[in-house]
Amino acid sequence: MGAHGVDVVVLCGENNVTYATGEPAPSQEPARAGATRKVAIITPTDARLISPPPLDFEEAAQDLAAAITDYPGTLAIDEYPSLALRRALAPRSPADAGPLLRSAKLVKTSAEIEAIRRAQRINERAMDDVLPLVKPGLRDTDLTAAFFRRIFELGATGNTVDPIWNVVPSSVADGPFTLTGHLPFPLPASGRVLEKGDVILNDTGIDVDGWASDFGRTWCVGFEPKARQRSQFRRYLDIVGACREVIKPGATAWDVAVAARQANSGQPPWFPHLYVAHGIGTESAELPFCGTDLGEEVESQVVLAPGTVLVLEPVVWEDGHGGYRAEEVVVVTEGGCERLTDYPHAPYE
Amino acid sequence: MSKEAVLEEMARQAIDVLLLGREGNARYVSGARRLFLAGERAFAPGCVVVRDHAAVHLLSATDFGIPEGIPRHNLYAPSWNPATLVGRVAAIPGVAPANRVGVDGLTPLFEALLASSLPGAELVDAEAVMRAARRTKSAEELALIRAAAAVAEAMMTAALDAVRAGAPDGTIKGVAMQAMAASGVTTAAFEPRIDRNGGRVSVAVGVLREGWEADLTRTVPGPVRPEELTAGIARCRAGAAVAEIGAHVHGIGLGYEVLPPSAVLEPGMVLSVGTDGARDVVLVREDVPELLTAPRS
Repeated sequence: MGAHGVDVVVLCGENNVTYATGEPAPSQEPARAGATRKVAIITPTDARLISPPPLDFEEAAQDLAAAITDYPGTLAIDEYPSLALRRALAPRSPADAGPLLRSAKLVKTSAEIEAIRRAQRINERAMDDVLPLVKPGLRDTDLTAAFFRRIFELGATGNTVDPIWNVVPSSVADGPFTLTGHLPFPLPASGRVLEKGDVILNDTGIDVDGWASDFGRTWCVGFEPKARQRSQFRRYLDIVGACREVIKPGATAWDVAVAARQANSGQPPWFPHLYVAHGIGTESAELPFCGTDLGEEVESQVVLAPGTVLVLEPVVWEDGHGGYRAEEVVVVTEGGCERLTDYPHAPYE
Repeated sequence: MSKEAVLEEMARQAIDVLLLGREGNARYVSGARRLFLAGERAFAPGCVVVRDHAAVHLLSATDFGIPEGIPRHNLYAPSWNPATLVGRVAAIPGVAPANRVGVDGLTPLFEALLASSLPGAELVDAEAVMRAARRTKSAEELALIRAAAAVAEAMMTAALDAVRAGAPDGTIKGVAMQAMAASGVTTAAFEPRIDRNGGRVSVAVGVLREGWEADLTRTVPGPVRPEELTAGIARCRAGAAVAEIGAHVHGIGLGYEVLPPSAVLEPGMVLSVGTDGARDVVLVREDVPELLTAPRS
């Protein structure tokens, strides 16, 4: 806060509140989460949590603004849940809390890293129950059912992303229309019956006491990967290896994107509407991003430090022959980086 | 039609364009199914409604899950650069000339970007428009809520069987979520909640089926005062104020709907009504309300 010239920060976004106060929000659909949100008022010496009535109405917004008058000085806020709150706080001319949150979240404490590792472990163990169900005749939602059963048995406190078991065609042209000309990943489960020969790109994220996991692998339905697919997988490993080679304190987000591209013959190995890597913390995907349309100017300003946690998710795609995608969570250490993901790439290895 | 209801309400409130960030609002006006993410998200313009053109535009890189009524040229691509995104929104026909632009949330960054991209526009409250349009449910919407209630009941049956078998909380939650997904529904309104109080175990479940919510709470062996909910539900009649019902009440539809204590009930509103250890979904009518969840045994 000091570095950003801010005296008091008001946080209305649930992931920001969890980050700043350690108070996890229950996992809920967006409108319920918004209506039952807690608001944090943070000063250098104090963190106060308020449970306001829904802020869509003038009276609740005015009451919250009145509570904030107890905290003088320069005010920053992350978001306005309603226009009513924007109006109520207008006299304070709030600054954007985004930049200071980005700086703070870039480096996780060892306790936060352990929380992410724990969420990741539960997500991975649940996949042990899902993988045997990947066979012809089962529905994608059957995979979801097994996944849900196991994550909660293992102690998850929420599921944050509708689990993705995205069957992809071998050619982009055989899939749904996209504005990008690439695959429309990720698509949600639809009750589709799995067929022999399907290739599934999966992606899941859970919540454990406010901290997130992110898991992704490529699976084959009813067959062993063919030579071409195995070579795609080897290229995937090369790209991840090249990224891990550059990920160390002082490297930038842009350096990671450059390394990935170089390891893929100069072509970006990621979906054009996404990125090759993203941060993770109180959200499955949060800043920083590597390889987005923010470009070099923005991403070269983001400097990795010990405690930065990244999810590498390159995609190797050979149109007409499908591809391979998976996710590896890594944490930046003093000397480089170490993996938080601990899961095999079956059936590719 | 929900789009017509929104356009009518925009006309009534003299609003030219809506920029919607809340997924329930976007789904109401568009019918689109986009990937579900749990939790609150900061405002970003994910859906644009232009009154003069009666047009709905959606932030989506694909037409998968987008209804046929929304042509491909009404899709705009996502961007990680908020300035790029606002540029795409401002380029939508009818947005730049708008005088009154409704938003259902804001961030300091989007406020600044909208001020520079749409310098003539006054920002007004879109949530008031959407709340008015969404308040009462059509027969088609009621059918969807009933279908969601059936899934919530399947979750509850599985959960209560596990409770009676003495299962730990994690297993109870797990079997409830498993039963939901086995019914083909992969999105919960909230994760199952379990409260243990003496010898009583209360379970709350909520489901979003095709975006439409139903939730219920049951207690084994039964709530302490079951008559409280029965009495509260009986008071859910047209003309009553929320504060008079004597229970925890919120609206439901495409997710949770906020109802202030002063809100007056109208026929066609759907409420989630709860007391200690019990909750049901009811349809408000002129006379006796209709229970949309199965009767408590």
